[in-house]
Amino acid sequence: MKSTELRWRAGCKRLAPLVTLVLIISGAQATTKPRTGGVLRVEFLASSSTLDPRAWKTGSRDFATNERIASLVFDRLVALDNYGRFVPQLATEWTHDTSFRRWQFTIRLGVKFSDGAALTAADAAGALALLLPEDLKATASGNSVIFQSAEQRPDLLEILASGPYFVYRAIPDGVLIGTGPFTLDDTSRGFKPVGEAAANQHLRFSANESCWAGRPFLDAVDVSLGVPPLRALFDLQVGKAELVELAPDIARRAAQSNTRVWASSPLTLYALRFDSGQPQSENVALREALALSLDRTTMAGVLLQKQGEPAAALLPQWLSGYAFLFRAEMDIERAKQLRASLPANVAGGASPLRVQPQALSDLARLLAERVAVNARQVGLSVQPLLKTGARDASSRAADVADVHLFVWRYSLLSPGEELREFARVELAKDSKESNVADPDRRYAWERKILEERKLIPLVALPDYAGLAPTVRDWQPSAWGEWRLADVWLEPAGAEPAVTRNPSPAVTAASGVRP
Amino acid sequence: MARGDSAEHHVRELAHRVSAELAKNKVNCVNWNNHKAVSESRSQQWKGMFVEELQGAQSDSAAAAGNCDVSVYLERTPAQVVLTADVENGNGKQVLFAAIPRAGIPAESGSVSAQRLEKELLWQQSERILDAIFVHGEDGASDRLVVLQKDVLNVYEKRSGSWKEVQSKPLGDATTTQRGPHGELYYSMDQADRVKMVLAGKTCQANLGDAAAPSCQQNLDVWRTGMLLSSSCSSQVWWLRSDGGDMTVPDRLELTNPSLPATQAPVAELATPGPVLSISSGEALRADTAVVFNLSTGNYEVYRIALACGL
Repeated sequence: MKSTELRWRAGCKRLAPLVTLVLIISGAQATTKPRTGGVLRVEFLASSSTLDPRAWKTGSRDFATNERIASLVFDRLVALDNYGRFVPQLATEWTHDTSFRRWQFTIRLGVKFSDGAALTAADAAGALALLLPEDLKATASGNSVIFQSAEQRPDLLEILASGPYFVYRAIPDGVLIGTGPFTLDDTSRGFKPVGEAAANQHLRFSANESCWAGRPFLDAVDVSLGVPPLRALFDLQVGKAELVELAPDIARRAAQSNTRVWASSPLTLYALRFDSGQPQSENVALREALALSLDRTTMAGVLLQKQGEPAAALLPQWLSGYAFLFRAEMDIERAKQLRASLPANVAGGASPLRVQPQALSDLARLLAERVAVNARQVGLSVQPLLKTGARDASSRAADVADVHLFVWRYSLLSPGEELREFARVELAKDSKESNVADPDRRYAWERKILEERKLIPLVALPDYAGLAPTVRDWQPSAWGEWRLADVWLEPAGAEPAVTRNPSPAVTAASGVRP
Repeated sequence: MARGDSAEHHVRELAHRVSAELAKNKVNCVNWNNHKAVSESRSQQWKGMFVEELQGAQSDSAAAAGNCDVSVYLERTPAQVVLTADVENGNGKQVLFAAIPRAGIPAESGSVSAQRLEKELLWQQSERILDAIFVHGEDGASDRLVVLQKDVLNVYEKRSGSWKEVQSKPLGDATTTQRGPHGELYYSMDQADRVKMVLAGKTCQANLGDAAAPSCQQNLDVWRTGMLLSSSCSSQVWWLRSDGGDMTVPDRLELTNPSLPATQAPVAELATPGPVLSISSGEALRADTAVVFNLSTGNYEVYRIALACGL
């Protein structure tokens, strides 16, 4: 052992010049040095967007577009990384009392808004106070933001790390500014807010040179809104865009043509909601019969060509952890028995059950038609309302829906708060359920809602995006954050991005539990 | 004794609640299902605690799956690991939950593969590590580990089998504020108590043996490309490099002949659990130190990389 050591030391001395020489010559290196510069061209399907989180509609499909664009400009108090850890952002530390009713967040010093003004606790509290659930109060105290709630809030970090809970400040002309990695160029500030959809809007975001977390690698992000699905794929493939949102049917085509495709966990739920104002909707046996007639496996496997998965719960498995407990098995015989127990004029003859898709997308039409086919198998008459364009008053009256086929886009990392929002919007009533952060209570509540059969989940779909080979350090979250501040661009013509093994965050949606 | 917010506490409390649901507190077996929520060893550890708390010797956890009164499912959500206990108590099913914050579950080291290149996990932490060097203690001195973060240089010594912090030097003005920060350590056995740090646009010198602040000067920011490595059983010197992906992909360490072009095929490879962020050495050619971002755990890990003889 000793002689080996001596020989090794002697060898070191002999090789000293070689050490110097080889340190000069270049081989491959540890992780490629990120390149600063370049413009990332991003295309969204949504035709409009707003940076104002106060205007975002929970559960809407536009929410994801708004959130992704806003994250270029705004920061949150905390973030959740892909390993389940809360990471300080604008807050550097936080504490809570033993009952989780009072939280205190210390605001990071030295952070500036894009107009040069320093971030204060009052700014953060003022912005968040307008966004938080009613029972949750945010106030500034010195350099801290205090959150106080009558209800236990062990999930406050999950709430603040997702959804609309960005920190912003309104400047006198009404524009919201932030502390994030990019700033919206002045020429883009006149873009129309949500509700005033103007197709083909174009926004440009420039790197925030004084961002507290460091300047982003990209010089700018160019955002195009309202790009048709096929056009987006085409633009990606011919090099006119580096990152495009893909519709589910286009994602399949893109993957088949060897385009780099990212898929999130299932983030969009398609479900049926019985209209409480319609007489047929109050019939429990009818709701049960319709629910038991549905063939979700075919919907996911054939209609969606496996781009989605059957859904039996309101909250997805990846968010609640217990969705596998809810079964949505088709039971034709039981459904027929229930149908037989109903009067013939219920969902039959001249009184079909009218199903109205919330949005007349191709997928919504297909699902509505499939619901009608499934229902017919058990003797229920279901009529999809798929007409578009102007109609007279009498036809509109005849088209009053008994059932709505709606879309819900998940946006919160707190399953309790997500379920509460879901119930508030889709059941049109404020929840009296408390402490839904507790999984036992939340599960019981979700089960109660599902057993009523007024809401019937159908399928859930991931978000898809197509990426150019030049996009590097693409590290999105499974719940849909794109994190463009850490992305950098390989120069055109350089070696394409390594894709031999995607990171856990970019794997395709996981299947449902057996 | 488990702390009130520890994973062990949550597991035992769930078992206690399950026990209360069961008729006469009798349980025939536990059907335990870990859906990739935690590592299998962690899962088995929790199962042991659960069974122990539930019934002690009465439980027969080895019974066939599917026929048990109690089924436990481990699922992972973005912020938690959710344990769902499905209990059949004679009056129907009861479902109980425990939610364990993922951040509170200690990370586990990956397995060490036996190849010509061997790696030994020395250190791991969640804070980003820019570079690290392991210095083997000579003549009875303790081993030392020097860890460079974007804002601090930490020095640890091996005492009684574990690492103890002996110095922590804030970098002050040299703190890296870049996104994706990079920094490198240089060490020479001739100056065993000093390290050189190359940070963004700065070069700093630091003493390892005292609390003096590092002294810095402006300099060029040039990235190192690899490190020499030798084995104790031959005089051949090799070049150790990584495959050079980005932060999203697993990487591998490659051993090549430094006198041949860089495009040559490596003579040995060693997979790493994530991108290799730096390769350096505190032991001249005997062993190198690699910093790896573990994509599975999200931790930054420091490995000692050595060449094995006779393989």
